[in-house]
Amino acid sequence: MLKALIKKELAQLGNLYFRNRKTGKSRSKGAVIGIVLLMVFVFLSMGMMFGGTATALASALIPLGKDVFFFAIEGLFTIAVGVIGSVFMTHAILYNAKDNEFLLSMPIEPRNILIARMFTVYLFNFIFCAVVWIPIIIVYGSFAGFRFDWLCLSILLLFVIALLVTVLTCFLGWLVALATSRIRNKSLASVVFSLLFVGGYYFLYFKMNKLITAIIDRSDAIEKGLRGWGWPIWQLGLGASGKPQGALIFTLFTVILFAITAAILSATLIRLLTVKTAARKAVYRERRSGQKAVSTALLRKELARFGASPTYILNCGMGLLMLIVAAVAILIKGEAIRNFMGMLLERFGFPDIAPLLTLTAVLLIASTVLITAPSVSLEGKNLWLVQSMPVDPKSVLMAKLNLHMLLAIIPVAAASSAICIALKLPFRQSVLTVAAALLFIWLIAEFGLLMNVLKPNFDWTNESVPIKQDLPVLFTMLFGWGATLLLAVIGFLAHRAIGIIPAITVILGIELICSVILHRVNAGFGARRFSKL
Amino acid sequence: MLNISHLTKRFGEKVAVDDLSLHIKPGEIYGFIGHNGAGKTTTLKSATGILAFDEGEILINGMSIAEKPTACKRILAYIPDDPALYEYMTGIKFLNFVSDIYDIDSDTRTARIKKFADLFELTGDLAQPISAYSHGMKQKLAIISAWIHDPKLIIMDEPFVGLDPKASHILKGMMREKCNEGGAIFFSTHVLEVAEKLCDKVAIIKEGKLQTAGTMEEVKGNESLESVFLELVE
Repeated sequence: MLKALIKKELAQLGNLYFRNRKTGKSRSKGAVIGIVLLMVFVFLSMGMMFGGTATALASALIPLGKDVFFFAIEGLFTIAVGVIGSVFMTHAILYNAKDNEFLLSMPIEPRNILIARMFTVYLFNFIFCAVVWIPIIIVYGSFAGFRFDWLCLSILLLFVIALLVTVLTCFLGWLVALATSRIRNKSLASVVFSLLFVGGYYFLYFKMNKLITAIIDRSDAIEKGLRGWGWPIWQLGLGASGKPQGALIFTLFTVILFAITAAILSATLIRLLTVKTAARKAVYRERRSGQKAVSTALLRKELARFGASPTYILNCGMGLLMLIVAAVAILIKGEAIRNFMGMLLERFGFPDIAPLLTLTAVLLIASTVLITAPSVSLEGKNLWLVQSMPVDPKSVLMAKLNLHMLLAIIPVAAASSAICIALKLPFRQSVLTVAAALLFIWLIAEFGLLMNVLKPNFDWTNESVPIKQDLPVLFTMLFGWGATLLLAVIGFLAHRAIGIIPAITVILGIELICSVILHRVNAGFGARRFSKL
Repeated sequence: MLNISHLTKRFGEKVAVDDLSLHIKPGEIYGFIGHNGAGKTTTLKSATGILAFDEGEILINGMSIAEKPTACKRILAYIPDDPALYEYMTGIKFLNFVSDIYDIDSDTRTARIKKFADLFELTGDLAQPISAYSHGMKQKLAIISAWIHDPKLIIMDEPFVGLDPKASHILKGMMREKCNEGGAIFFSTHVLEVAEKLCDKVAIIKEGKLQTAGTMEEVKGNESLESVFLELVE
């Protein structure tokens, strides 16, 4: 029974990455190689980032002989990253699967359903933890030398750390499920919970240097604490640095926690899978509704679509929030930023490229606003509605484009204006910088729309597929970053030849030309293709 | 009202609809019958402009759906077999959205929404999100949205599936009324008793090819529609 359920889980995972969802056939070798290379690239990039953090800590702790402390702290860090990274995915895997009713209708013990799903969570967590833990092992080895005992134990402990992360994420996922089962507005609750975790992640990320310094400065006190209240983590540190007894105690502790968690979650599984919150019925009051233009009606439809989906908001609109937060932060820390930038630019001998750096920073964040990229796919099974209505396909596409622009225009203007104010840029430079940032939104919106018209996916059963896993979103984000880099390089070269104001004008011109071309392609070819989807 | 001439639609190697011709006149309720996968939905979707076809011509009130899709869609309405509606909207927001698209003024839409929602006993649920609707309620909402712009031609794919007996009865009445006003209805169904009682004309399709078409009397003669259908498709 359990074996069959685990096989089903594995088949689902395999289908997700190595099978074409439309045709059901295996992906071509080229596509599989592409996916694997992309994964390797992402893992290497993240691994290098975590390796850098580990190096900073290792260089301070290993020479002092604090090897156990190093592994304990890094173990704690690995667990924290794993938990933050996968808690919401865990909740979705455990409780929001589409086959809940199907499985519950069959003679399967809820415990088996749960364990099979926890196995999937474990696989994901293993990958997350490996990305953090393996660089730590390499860094430690480069400082302390590679020996069979600690190397073997630390690699084996990776499996146990992933299990502990699974226990913690499953428990947190269970708490989220309990909380949301009592909340009527689940969309809002999901957005709030997600923002809390994302906020926590960024807080941790931005405070990392301070955190490492604090750990090094107060290493004795923290070590004392870990030996006391954090003894399981201390045992992890002992185990990873080559003490089998520590590894054994940490493993036992994790297995016991796993058993307790599995028992608690099994007992409540059916209730949480079948819970239906009693929604308060909205009362309809008949009233005269004003007539709206077709373009307004379509735009409102797109806005309703965006607002109703936490997944859409969090994945494709997170950049909007980041831009607003950046604008506020820049205004608060204006003087510090101005001093730092001034010092930096003077040092490198380019005192007048501040507008270019400003623009690059804003464009990088604006590249994460990807509202148009999944918008065509999100029509999904509703596609027949716009196709059977007397609306020009171009109008439908333009509504998607307009939503992107409408939502992004204020945050981008705010962030770019704030940084111009903070750096006290001259008026003409500021106007051009803000204009270039605003034009970039148009460019990204058009590109995302074109990508999705070219490669739509209407066969999804979970909207996170077109939003998180499809190529148009990934391509659009990569295009945004690539275009930002290219524009920065062009701007820099142009600034050396013709000065900063003409250089930004050149960037503006390139953005305008590319946006107009893409707009014409979307309005013509894109609309024709959309009508035939 | 709807003139389908030599319609052919292929999906790769498979010919879904093969040289099909039908003519639906104003005032007619035209039933379209066939087994699963016979090509009914493909024909209906082609006639609605949702699906591009390979050969033939489809005219709506004399206008080609391929050449003037928007003008044709303005005078027709389509209800698919599984009406997936915008679940993130409430019922009333959806009806207002459809009204905006069809350029229906405030007074007219208010009156029509009241008339049809009351008729289907859906008024009390119009403020609810569509995601909270049952299949039958979604079907009723789709029917109201089809009738709200007073189309000349209504194309429906299995419209009675999911409707309760009362709603089915109301829909049959609305279909007849629409035809009495000079409109036309073209719909597919598997319920042969409904087709036999309701339709002025009927067409039977098998593996994409039209087997027979005509008035109910011409098609079934003295036999039941069920026996004729079984004879033709066996």
